[in-house]
Amino acid sequence: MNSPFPSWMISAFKMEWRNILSYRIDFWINFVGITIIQFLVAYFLWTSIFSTSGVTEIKGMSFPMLMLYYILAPLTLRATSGLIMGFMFNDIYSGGLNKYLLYPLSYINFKLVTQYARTLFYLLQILLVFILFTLFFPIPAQVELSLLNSILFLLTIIVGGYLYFMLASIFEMISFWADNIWSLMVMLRIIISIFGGLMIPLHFFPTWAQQVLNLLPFRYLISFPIRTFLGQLSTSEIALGFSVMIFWAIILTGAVQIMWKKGNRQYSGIGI
Amino acid sequence: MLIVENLRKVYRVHKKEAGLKGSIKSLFVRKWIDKEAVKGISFSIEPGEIVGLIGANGAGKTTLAKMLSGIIHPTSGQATILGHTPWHRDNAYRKDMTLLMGQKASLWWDLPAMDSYLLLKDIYQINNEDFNKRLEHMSTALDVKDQLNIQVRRLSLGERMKVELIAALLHAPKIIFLDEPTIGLDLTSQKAIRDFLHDYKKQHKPIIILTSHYMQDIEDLCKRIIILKEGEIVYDGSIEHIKQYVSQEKVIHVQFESSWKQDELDTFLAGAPTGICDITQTSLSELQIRLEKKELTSVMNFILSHGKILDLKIGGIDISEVIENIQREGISE
Repeated sequence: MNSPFPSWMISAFKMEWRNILSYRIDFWINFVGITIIQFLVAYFLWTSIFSTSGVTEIKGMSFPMLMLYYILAPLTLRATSGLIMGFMFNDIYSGGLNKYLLYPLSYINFKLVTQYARTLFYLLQILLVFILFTLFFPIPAQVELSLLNSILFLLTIIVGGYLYFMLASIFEMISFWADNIWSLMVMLRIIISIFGGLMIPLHFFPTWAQQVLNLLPFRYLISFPIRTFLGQLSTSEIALGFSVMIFWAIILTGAVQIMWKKGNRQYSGIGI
Repeated sequence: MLIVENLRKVYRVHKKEAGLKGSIKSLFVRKWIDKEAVKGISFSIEPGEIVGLIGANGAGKTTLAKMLSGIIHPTSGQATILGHTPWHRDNAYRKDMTLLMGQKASLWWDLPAMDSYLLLKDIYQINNEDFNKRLEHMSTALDVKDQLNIQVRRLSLGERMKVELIAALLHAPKIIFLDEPTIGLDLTSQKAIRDFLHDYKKQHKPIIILTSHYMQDIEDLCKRIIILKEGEIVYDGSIEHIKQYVSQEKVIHVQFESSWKQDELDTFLAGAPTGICDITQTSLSELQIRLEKKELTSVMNFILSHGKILDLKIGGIDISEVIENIQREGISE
């Protein structure tokens, strides 16, 4: 049995799954909590907006469509962001990084593998929630589901997850130089939530803002995968999106490598 | 072969005044100080040798171990271990090396040790046969077979240390850095770990650098010791050499019935026979006398002629006392 990946990647992947499953309560609270609370907030807010303004559509989105978007948005961000905030910071700050530096493997690759283990897990959650949604509500008329869109969705999650990982790593690695960078990481989260499309769908923004956001990495973590999945984007939009993603993947990978090298020289391993 | 030349490490740390005022000040101005943890040291070690690294807290032992295991970069100097420079961290070196830190956990906290071992098996590309053989051997020797399937965070300190030791040695490394491997363990567990290391040494002929605060560990495992003091080597040589001091000297604790006045003590000291190295008055009626072993009879006679004795104890010098002395004052050749 020959696999294209080194065998440690597969066992690290499996181990991360065991890690997730060893916290059952956390798993259910996150799953039920995030999905239901975010959904209810959006539901009540948009119900009143729709009823007071008396429209049936806002910027081409019907009420059921908007609700489907709001169910998928937090789950999609969870799938692309995978690891919890502080995944490198904690290792660097507490000296937990030491053990990874001893192993004959790359720490960043190791973390990336654990990130994708979580991504797969959250993808299964998305599938489950989507099926539940279709049991209770009709699929909105604007949605065009297809096998191709689903495959493209998987690809956007994989590349988007990579972008998130590299972007977050850059912030997390600042802890090589500064003791506490929690506020910086929270800031990154907020930026992603606003400019990625978690708070409101991005096509509610003015056109010029959308054009700028198309070129930044944030929307590829939330809005772009969802709209690809629901069949809301044209072929040329998807092609452009993928080009921008690959551009950012290259830039961010380079930045991470430089920071890792410099940070390593700085690292003191905690304690004398 | 391990060769270290002029290895030096300077940490830059910022100094903060205590209290809220100091914290606010440090928001704007930071005072940086250089802390030289290792001050240009050189030594070499042959394969099959276990070297004990001794030093007070902050002497630079851990910093040295971290540089030689490649975790941190030195400020200047060279080290070559089996042809590799440790902090370049090439995989060939990392596959041959291990570092075990007694105070730091390396296993995944929420998983049973066995899960971590299986990951390590793939990380180090250990084949099934070797893996099973080594695991069976080590878990039997350390008596932790029943603990391998329990979450690591639920193990006792001693059990955790043992499963950590197995994790560190599963890939049969040739270079081993052990930083306080028996810290906080009871005597039985300490001995189990020492016996195990003896056995490992015989089988694999590795280079081992061991730091420990328990002299028993060092005496039992190492022929050679390096004593560090504030980042410098103050002694590098055989433990036998140090033991000679120990065997040549004796210590007498004596408690007299009546207390001693200063002038009485002065007379006593003036009339004392040769061979006494050191006398300390531990309380008004008690003396502690360090003397050359061959003068024991004459010194005893002298003491007995100086008053009624309540209690008397004759013993050897503890090796850790000698080493403490070297750390304080250096060694006289």
